[in-house]
Amino acid sequence: MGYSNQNLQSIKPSKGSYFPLIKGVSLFLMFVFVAFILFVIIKGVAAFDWNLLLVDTRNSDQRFNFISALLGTCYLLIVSFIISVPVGLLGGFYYSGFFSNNKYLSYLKMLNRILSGVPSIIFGMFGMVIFVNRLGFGYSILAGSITLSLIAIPHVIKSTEEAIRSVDKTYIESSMALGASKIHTAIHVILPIAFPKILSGFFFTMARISGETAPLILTTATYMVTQLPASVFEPVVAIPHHVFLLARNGVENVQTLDLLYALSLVLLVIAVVVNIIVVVFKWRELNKK
Amino acid sequence: MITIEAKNVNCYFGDFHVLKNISFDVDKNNVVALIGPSGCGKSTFLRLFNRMNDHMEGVKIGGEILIDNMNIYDTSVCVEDLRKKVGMVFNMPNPFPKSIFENIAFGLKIKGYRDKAFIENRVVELLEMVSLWNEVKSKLKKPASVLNLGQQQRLCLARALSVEPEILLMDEPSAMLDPISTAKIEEIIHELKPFYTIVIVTHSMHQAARISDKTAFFNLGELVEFDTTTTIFTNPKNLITQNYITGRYG
Repeated sequence: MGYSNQNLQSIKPSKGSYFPLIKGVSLFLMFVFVAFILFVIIKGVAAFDWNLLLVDTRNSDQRFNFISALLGTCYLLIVSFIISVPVGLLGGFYYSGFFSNNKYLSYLKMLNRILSGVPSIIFGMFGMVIFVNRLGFGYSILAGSITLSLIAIPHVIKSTEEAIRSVDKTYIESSMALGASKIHTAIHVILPIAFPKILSGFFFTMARISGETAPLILTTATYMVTQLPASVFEPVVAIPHHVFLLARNGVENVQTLDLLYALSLVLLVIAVVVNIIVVVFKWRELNKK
Repeated sequence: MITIEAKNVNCYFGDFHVLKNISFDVDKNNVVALIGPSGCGKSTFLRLFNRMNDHMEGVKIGGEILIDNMNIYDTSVCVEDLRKKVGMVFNMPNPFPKSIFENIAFGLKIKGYRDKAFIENRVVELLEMVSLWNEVKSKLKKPASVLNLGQQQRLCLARALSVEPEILLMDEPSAMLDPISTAKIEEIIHELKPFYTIVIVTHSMHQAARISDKTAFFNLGELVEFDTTTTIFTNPKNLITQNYITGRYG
């Protein structure tokens, strides 16, 4: 009973003399972040106009068209998803070492790490040279999607590999002990167990590449496109690309500026929504056990 | 009739000599218990019979293991077929995160059965064999994780039986279970004995004494003594065996 308040306080860990600095930097960063968000929200809400989103102006000659940009992003993401799912799954399985574990694997993994750090404009240039020109896809959804997939693939392979590695070894062992082949085990045991993690990895990467601008400038379109594409060989302008093309007009044009603010708000909302979906997904997965 | 025959088996993990020159045979429809202190190589030895050590890194195996007079490490042997013939139950109950029904249907599908009605009947039969049917008949579609550990282990046993093995390897099947669940597992082993050859690794000497016909005592990677269970527990020839059995060593 001889404990005083002072004794209780004395067992608190020392914060160290650097603590005010860390605190200061954190607060400053927080302030910048909040100011940035508030700026986008205030300016965006002021400039926001539902007509921008809801009125179908695809066939008019109005140059600023949000619907076509939103659809453009959707097309690009869907085609990228279709391309990167099989590659990501197969690559993830290969990288996990489940089928074969040879010495080349560590070199491949190193290459994968390097590839995931390459600036996206490099991928854009590669896509422009190979897909747009050499293979003759032209500035198109296909050229842009393949380029985006190249950016996504190192990330989805990594996340898929981690999802597969996290599967409890005892499940794999008992499947193999029943005389199941490796393929059967992969499809019927590993895949169902790792599926939520694999899927959230894919979503996360898709959310990431949906914000890519540089590679799209070089592969999907060179000018503002408001026509809906009839096939994957036609050009399209995605939301970030749309913002870029608008911003190029400069800040003097008030109408353009308002549109930019509104678009930025919409982009922010989309990013938040996608991230909430991913978080909810992970949360559900964590709470399933 | 000899079902499993090991001739001068040596096993290395990298430089570590896990099993030293072991010769051993198991008669058909016998229950053989492998006992010995932890790390003596008895589990490794057990896992040689269905080639589960193949996946371990740096494993080297010497000597011959014959099952029904066929060398199972021969290159012509199909590992998947071997494992259907030699089933295994692990120490930790590990049903798949699927429904109770699906856990057993999984094995039946591997065995090649596709007919739905047949699978449904067979699942019931297998659950009856491990005396689990009455406990789970109302919740076949529920995930296997709703069962308690003892029930999960019996489910795993039924899953192992679903591919119609002739030999059952059990790696400390009741290590994680309470005495009542353990008794149930032992009861099932008794019931299965006329139809299967069973090799069981156990840490419980009482269990070995209760269920096995023959007992093999392992120490430091060597097979010290292998004889009928009665002899091992009443009149062991080797001093180390005697000390282990009586609890003075191990």
